[in-house]
Amino acid sequence: MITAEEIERAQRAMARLREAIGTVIVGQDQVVEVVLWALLGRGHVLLEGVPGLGKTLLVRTLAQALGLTFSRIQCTPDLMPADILGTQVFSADGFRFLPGPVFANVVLADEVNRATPKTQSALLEAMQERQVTVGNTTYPLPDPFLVLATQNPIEMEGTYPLPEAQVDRFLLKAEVGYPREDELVEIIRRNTRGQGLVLPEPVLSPEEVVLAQRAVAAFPVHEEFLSYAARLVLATHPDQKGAPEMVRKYVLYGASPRAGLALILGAKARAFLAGRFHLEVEDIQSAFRPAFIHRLILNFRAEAEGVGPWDVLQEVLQTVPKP
Amino acid sequence: MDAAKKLPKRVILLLRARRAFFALCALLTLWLGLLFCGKNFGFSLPVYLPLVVAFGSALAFAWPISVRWYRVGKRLGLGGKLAGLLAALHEDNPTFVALLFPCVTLRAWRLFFPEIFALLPVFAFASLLFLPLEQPYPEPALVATDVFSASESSFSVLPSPEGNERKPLQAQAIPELPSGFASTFSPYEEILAELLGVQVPPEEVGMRLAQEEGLLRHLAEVLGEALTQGVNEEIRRELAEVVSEISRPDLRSALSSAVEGESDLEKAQALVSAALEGLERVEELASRQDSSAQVPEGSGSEGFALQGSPDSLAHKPTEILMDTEAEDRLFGRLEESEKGLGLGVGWEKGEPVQPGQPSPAPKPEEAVSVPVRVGEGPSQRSFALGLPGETPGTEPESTALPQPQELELTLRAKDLPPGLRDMVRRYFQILTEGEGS
Repeated sequence: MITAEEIERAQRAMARLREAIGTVIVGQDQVVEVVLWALLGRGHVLLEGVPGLGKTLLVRTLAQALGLTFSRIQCTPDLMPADILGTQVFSADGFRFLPGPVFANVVLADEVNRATPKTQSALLEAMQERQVTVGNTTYPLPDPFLVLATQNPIEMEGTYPLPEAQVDRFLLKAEVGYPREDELVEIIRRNTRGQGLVLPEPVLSPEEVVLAQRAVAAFPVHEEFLSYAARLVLATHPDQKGAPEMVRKYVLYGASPRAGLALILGAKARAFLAGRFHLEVEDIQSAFRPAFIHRLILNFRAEAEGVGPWDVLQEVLQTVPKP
Repeated sequence: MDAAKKLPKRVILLLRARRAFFALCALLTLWLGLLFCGKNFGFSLPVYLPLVVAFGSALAFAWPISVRWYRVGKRLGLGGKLAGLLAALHEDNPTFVALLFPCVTLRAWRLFFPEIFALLPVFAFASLLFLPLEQPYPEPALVATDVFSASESSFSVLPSPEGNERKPLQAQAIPELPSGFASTFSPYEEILAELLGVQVPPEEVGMRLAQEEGLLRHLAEVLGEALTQGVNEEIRRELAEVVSEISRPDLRSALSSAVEGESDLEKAQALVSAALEGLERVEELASRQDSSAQVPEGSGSEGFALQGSPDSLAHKPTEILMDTEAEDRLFGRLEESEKGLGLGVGWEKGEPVQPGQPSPAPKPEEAVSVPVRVGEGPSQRSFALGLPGETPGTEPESTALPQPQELELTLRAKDLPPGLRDMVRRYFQILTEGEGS
């Protein structure tokens, strides 16, 4: 049972982390927020955005500030599962397991949609199970374990888009947008002084991260919020009675139950980061987009009419009654 | 932890109280509305209405309540803290209970705002509608006396047996009305009916009188039973029911105040006896009126013939009927000076005049003396005061109208509601205009 002092200590540690990230990353507050929600919710994040927006820098900064081990996997079509998970090598002592880059606290799978489905599947299975089985031996992955996979939305040539079942394994999806003018000015200024990239010093220990994860897990959620989350999930299904008009018109498959889990975990993490010990409806509404946007599969009609998932989700959010 | 566990019960209690409060307000508003309608449309409210209001509020308090805790928390200014605390209690999470409970302070007044502001204009509006009607109406019996005095002192005249001279009655010669001798219906309603030209058929009047008499007799029995055997629940209920059905508003209110709390049952009995006496006289007069209607007009009669059409009693219930003793007192002075002439009034037998036909040429009147001694023999006399109606056999100029100044002074001297005062003024104005034409 976590104590009140531990919870408050974890909250202070997370405040330090945000401050440290802010010294390196300019803007992208929402992306940083979503990454931290996923970290606290013991989930993984799919980062989507065009190249050059600082996705890799964000992940490296996060790992550095957390004082966690970090590894990066550049996904290519010839990347094999063993390249990620590790392999057994023969030595004088016999076969021994050589861990792959997935054995790190923070893993960046860059351009994950360039890897073959076989490799993607191996990575995503490790993400889900938090363990790797090679031969007859199962190797647990370190705790905390956070995978941040990036994908480029505009470059489709030579890619293997993640299947829906695999995308569903990411707790949240962060859409990395273009920075504002003032943020861009600051980025240019920082990176043209010739001083190179200065990453922050670690501001919290892995134990504090685990403590924060435990605090978020222990966060009490009232039945009304759980019911609200369930209503939101069901409202994305076109065959549900009372589904919004846009859902019935444009949605092929609605969000899975994992969307509800992601929603509540994201909301809890948001409330925790805000220094609160209780949920508000705004927490759920803020976590709604990153938890649902990659779980909605639209039909051809939506594609033809230029309707995106967020257009549909906005109507869902407006239609479903709040607690 | 124990204190935190009591919190939901306190909140539920507050919510029940809030619901009961708003139910009470709604029922009171309804009550006010009904009271207002009752005053305007002339129906009385059931006596158990306060019980309905109280029971409705109690029911609203006791009815099962479904609480949406997050909304309640927001109403209390706690946001999601209340829901979070309840979730922590439900999950048996003492850490979060300890963190959240100090932040949860119940501010009960927030549950009643802003709805209570919406109630204020409703009540203010209801009060504005209701307040003017709260002006105390004069007791109908007193009003009848007032009408008697005012009309008598200002415009009632007695035809003189000699010539056409009119002799005004002196105000001091007017006797007081016997107790319980009041108009059967509210004089205000009758004046309004006159103004609007509404006429009540004689059959309906008779039916109402019979109904009222039956009620009064039943009430007298119940009161007698109550005085002899004491008041029990059944008698109390019966008293309330019978009193509420009495049509005379003044009598009803007097009786209901007398029987309320069983404090003055003897007074109630006296009121009922007086009212019964009055009703009997009215019925007696009505029967006499029926018989006199069969006598051709112009035939000699003792005392005063009733002016107006045969069913004038039914049409003009404001006319105040006097008993024989009152007449004796009234005409005692005349008898002294005109002894041997009966009452000194009579008419020559003439041709009946139909309505709409021109009056016959006036003949010189002759005094007709009828050898009658007051108080002896089977003769019956009656006297009707009030405004004489136009009859087929008399000329309109026989009606004397008050001077406008006198009318105004009389109206101002009486404590009449302004609307009624205007109606009475207009009534005489119409009569004066008719007289002038």
